[in-house]
Amino acid sequence: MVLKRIELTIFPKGSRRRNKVKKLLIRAKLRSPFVPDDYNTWVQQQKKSIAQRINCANISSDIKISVVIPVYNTPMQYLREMIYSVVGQTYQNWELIIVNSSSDKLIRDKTKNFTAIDTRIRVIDVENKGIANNTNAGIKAASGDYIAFCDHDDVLEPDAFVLVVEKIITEGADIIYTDEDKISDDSKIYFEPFFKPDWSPDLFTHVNYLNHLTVVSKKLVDKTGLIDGSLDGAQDYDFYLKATDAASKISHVSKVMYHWRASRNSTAHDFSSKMNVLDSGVKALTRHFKRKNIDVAVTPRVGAPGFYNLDFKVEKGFSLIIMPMFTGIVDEMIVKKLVTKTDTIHKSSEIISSVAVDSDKNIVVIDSFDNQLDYLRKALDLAKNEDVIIVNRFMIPMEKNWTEALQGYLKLEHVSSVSPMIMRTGNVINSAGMLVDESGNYSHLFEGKVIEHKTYTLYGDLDWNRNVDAFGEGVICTRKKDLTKFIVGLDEYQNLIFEYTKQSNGTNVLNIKSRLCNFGVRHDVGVTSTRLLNDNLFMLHGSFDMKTLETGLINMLREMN
Amino acid sequence: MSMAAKPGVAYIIVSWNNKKLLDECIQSINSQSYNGVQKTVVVDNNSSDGTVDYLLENFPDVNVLPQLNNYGFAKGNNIGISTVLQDKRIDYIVLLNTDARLASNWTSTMINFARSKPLLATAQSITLDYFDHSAIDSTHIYVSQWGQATQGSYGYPIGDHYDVPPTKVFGCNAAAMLISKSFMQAQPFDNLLDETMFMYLEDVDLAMRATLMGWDNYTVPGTRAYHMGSVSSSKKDPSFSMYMTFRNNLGLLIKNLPANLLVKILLSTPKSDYSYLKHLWKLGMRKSALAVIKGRLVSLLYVPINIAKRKRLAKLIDIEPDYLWHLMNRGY
Repeated sequence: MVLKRIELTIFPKGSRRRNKVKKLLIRAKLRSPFVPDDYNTWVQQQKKSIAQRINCANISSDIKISVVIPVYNTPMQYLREMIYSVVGQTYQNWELIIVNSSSDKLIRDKTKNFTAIDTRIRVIDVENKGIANNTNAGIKAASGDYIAFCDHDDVLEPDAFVLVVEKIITEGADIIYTDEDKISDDSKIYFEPFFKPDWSPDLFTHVNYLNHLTVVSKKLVDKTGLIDGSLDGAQDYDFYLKATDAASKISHVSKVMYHWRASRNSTAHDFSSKMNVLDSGVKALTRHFKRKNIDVAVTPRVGAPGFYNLDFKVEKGFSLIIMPMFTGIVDEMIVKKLVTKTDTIHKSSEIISSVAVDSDKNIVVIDSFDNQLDYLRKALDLAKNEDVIIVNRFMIPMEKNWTEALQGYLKLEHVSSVSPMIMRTGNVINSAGMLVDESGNYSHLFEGKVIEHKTYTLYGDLDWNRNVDAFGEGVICTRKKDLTKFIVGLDEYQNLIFEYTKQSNGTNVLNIKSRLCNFGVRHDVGVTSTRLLNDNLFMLHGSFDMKTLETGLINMLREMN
Repeated sequence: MSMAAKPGVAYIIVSWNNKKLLDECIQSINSQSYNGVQKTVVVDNNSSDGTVDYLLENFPDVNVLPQLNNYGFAKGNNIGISTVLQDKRIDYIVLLNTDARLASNWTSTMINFARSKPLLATAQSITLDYFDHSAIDSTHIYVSQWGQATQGSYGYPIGDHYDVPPTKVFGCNAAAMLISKSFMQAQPFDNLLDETMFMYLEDVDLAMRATLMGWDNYTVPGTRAYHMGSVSSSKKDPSFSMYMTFRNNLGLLIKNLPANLLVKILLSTPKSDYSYLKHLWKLGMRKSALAVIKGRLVSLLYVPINIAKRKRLAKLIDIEPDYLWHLMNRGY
């Protein structure tokens, strides 16, 4: 008690002196560098007693999961934790293949002894030939129906395999991935969870968000082939790119089932310093698009290792339709602004507007129309290009090639529409696309969030290319043939109503490279077909919070009333 | 390791004036669904309430071993173990308290689990409180980072559909515990349990020894045991159990812990003891507080023996001190 008072007098809370001492203690390894926060409290509360409810206790155990762990000079404590987390699975039909590829003789010998822990554990001795070839040795030895790829120093949740097998049985999935979070070196603190969306192919070509834990069916592995040894650093990305193309169903377990050892993310192990990682990822993505015969330049994002920008080579022109929003003079200003700030590289690109402005660009004017719906129909008749961009609100583009970024994604067949990122002044996001939660409530993703140095959120970073459920009505980029399905009619304010119907099977992509600045308040309507928002999160005005016990109770009370 | 199709199981009960409790205890053994070879042994520590006659009359299949003195829990079990291991068919031993009962699928679940685990030393199921099946008595035991032995999940509520994953834990509670013969043969002492401890903390000592040697202790899902708790020794006066706990604690640490962890814990002992004593004094449990002090002082007498045992065990330690510290810190 007295000591505490002395400590607080010499080092007051929040003082610089206190912070300096904290940093010194972290460096001297007398204090953990990981700060526990609300997420950690939430997780630890659920782990208070090791007795927990088993989900799906009556799952048939015919499906065998082979866990492949390539080991390379692992600290024994971490490897033990991983092995016992596999042994401690509630689902019992697994086999564990440890690929003993360490160079350290002591670790090699100790790893061999792990077969004594459980009769389902096998150790395969190989020469170290890189992580891809080491993993392949494990895959070749696997006899299960599904293969789970785990790292040697991470930890699994006890319910991981049960939930994966549940997805296999109920959805017939080929590939299953789960959410993940990070665990500190001393395994005491959990932090930075990543609650992933359901299958998002266009987020996947931006970053390998599947990561861990990913379980792939053995038949799929046989079809796509083993992991490419020439792409070490992004060998799993390349493998998953091929596998997701060939898979018939990709399922998502929306619970944190995998804990990433955080020591790998410390600056000492920053893999962005290794050039081969960046090259491998670029190579993997380039090959992926080459297999689809799509011309695209892949570049790594500066300062963000593991993230890639796609610059599609757009050969077609676009038709930019600027809706009549206000009266003549204001519309003229809007059109002028948009025309000057838009690059039209292709000869066939045109801008269709309701007022004439002086410009050397190709502008088509529609003089007379009854209402917005009439105008739009006339504009679509006049539009020569298949790629159509409609601007329905007063927005100003922030980059001149904003249309190219939008059009590029339309080259992919599975994409049905592309959204730009809508900003407010400053670096404030107005809308990063729209998501719908389980009650059918829509919300603008990341509304009001500031893009600054730290972009981490529970749902991933603020500045990723994502798949979203609906586009905002401000800017719509889609193909002419698809657009006609979206138009419904006019509402009582003579505003256009767009609607998604089940006919729109394609994905909606948010492209962060196309940004527009919004002026004015938006109230957009969207109906969606798939739900991308993670089950653990509820959205309130575009920001996320964990579904905690309290919110569960509140929802229950709401339902009861 | 080769094992018969159905491994043999021996149940060992140590009794001391618990005649009334033995009925249900032995009946829960007899109603096990497991159909491998099973034997029951009751080691009676010189009871004066007619336990031996009662058993000989009512349970002729049980092997009763009457002793001439009260040798305590540890030695009683050791006597039973050495008797039972003469039968080569026995591969597993179950230690069962007189106030503990087993669910009818206990043995078959445990044996089925243990078959795939060559490195299994001890195992237990979730042990519920006998009087309130919605409260846990123990899921495991562990030694905390302050060197104190604790029953895991004691008092936690549990619903019908709750269970554990098959978790490697620090150690198992001897109220209802499975031990593998292979571990008994691998550990360095002639007797499995430490007889100088008499009672209390021998299961913790066993757990520590197994963990240090690189063996595994598990909590197994799918079955239950029921334990009344502290009925064997007198519940009205906790000072005896406190005295024994603190008397055995130092020996436990000295015998087992690697040097750097031992030093770390011993340095923190004065502060934790002081706060515990203050806590007891405030609650008015003066007698218990004095028992704690007496226990600590008496434990110093056993230091030489434990240092000698430490040297014997040190050769078999096969675990990194960091990993042991990790297990002690995580609470299971």
